[in-house]
Amino acid sequence: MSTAENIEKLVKKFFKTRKSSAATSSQMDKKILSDALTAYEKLKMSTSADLQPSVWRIIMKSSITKLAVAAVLVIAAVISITFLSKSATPAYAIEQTIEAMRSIYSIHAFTTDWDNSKGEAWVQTNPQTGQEEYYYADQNNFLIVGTPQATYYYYKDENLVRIRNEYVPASEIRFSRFFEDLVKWVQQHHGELSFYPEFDQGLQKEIIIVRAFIPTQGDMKEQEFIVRVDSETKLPISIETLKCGPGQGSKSVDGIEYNATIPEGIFEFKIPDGAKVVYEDKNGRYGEVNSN
Amino acid sequence: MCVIMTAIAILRQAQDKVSKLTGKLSMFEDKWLLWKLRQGSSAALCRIYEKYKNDLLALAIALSNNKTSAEDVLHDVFVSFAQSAGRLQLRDSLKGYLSTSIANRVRNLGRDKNKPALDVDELDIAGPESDCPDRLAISKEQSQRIGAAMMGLPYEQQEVIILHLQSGLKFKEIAEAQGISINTIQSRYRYGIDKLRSILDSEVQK
Repeated sequence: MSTAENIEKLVKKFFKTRKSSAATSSQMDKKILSDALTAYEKLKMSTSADLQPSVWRIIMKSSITKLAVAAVLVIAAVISITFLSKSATPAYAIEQTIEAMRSIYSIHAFTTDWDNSKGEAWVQTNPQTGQEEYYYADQNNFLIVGTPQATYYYYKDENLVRIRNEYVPASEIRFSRFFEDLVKWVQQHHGELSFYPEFDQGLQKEIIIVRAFIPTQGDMKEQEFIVRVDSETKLPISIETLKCGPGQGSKSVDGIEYNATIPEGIFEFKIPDGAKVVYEDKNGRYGEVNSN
Repeated sequence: MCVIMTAIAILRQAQDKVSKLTGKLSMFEDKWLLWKLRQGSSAALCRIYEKYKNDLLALAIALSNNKTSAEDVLHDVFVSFAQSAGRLQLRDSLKGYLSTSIANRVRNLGRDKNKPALDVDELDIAGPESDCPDRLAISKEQSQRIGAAMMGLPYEQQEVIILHLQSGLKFKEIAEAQGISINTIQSRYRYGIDKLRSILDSEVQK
């Protein structure tokens, strides 16, 4: 009588034998690599925004649709979630954060990606429209600068610059309207949004935790992230992804400064010496030079 | 005799250590390759393909029992991987991600379409005449018996056994990829192994 362990060993050997005889042909390699590289190049060329540092993806990626003008009114009517904290913190309502975020004209964020690389981003927004006008994001070996005239992508290790002759939005949504879109997104995906107070040891004060949870849907794995909101300013102070599928979110936005003075010239991209420069429009590459 | 046994034990321990170290190096390389891929490196994509192509093909063949379908699956999985490369953020191993992608695609194809079962001769399995010590451990006849016994298992059980014993995935990784509990995965594995044992034992008694 064989034991389970013997069977496991035997089956393992069987697989090992079969495995050693399974090899791709050179013709197959050529076909697969050719198709894969084509798909990869297409991805690099056509979806520049997807290759930007994932710092903003927590906030801006996924199927969050553009903000409806009347979103605030909808939110006020549908989600008037308020609570009274146990301490002396005044009652909190999401509308307070929405209102506070509408006065933002600059954002300075510090980020961490899944590979633990640290990054930094600056965004200049128009408080009237909520639209980002300029942005700068530096994550490890990748830098992106967006201006009204052009968007620059710089791959530091390859000394390669891609220049898109238009403004490529940093995201599908506006950070200064983040909560309006968040609510809408959670509703659309039948998720949960909850709020609760928590004492932050680092800040030595009570903060508000906003937790968003989206269940698994089709190919999209369940997602969960929390936004820590300052109970005084009503503004988010950090964002952390707790659960997400591959490519659906970055690790964290560790700190956010609002309305800080934007460093002079940060949105003026200078082509580094010796860099290869590729020019693109929305239809793809149309020029290539080497800078001196 | 005792000296030989001790020597074998020491060699096995050393082999385990080397194997663990190799595994760690491989994972480290994968992290680096993924990082390069996100930066736009085509060379990283080629290296990942070269590194895993044969393992993934073997997995697809084991799961689909059809070499042509397996090649199509490998093609589709890799092209799809290239398409999502810039956005990919893996928590588990790259090998685990690619292996579960293969398993999911084979399942989606519908395994019934992949029958009739692959003739083991088609894979040119090395027999006892091979000079490779690993291969010497299992005969062609044994291979055929195990292959046939595997075919007698429900697909869910086959899948777990193949992913665990052939691709080396942990039960936790399989459970997460399939969105079911680890207990269910472990039960499928246990039932599958028990059934294999029962099939193989009954053949020996005949």
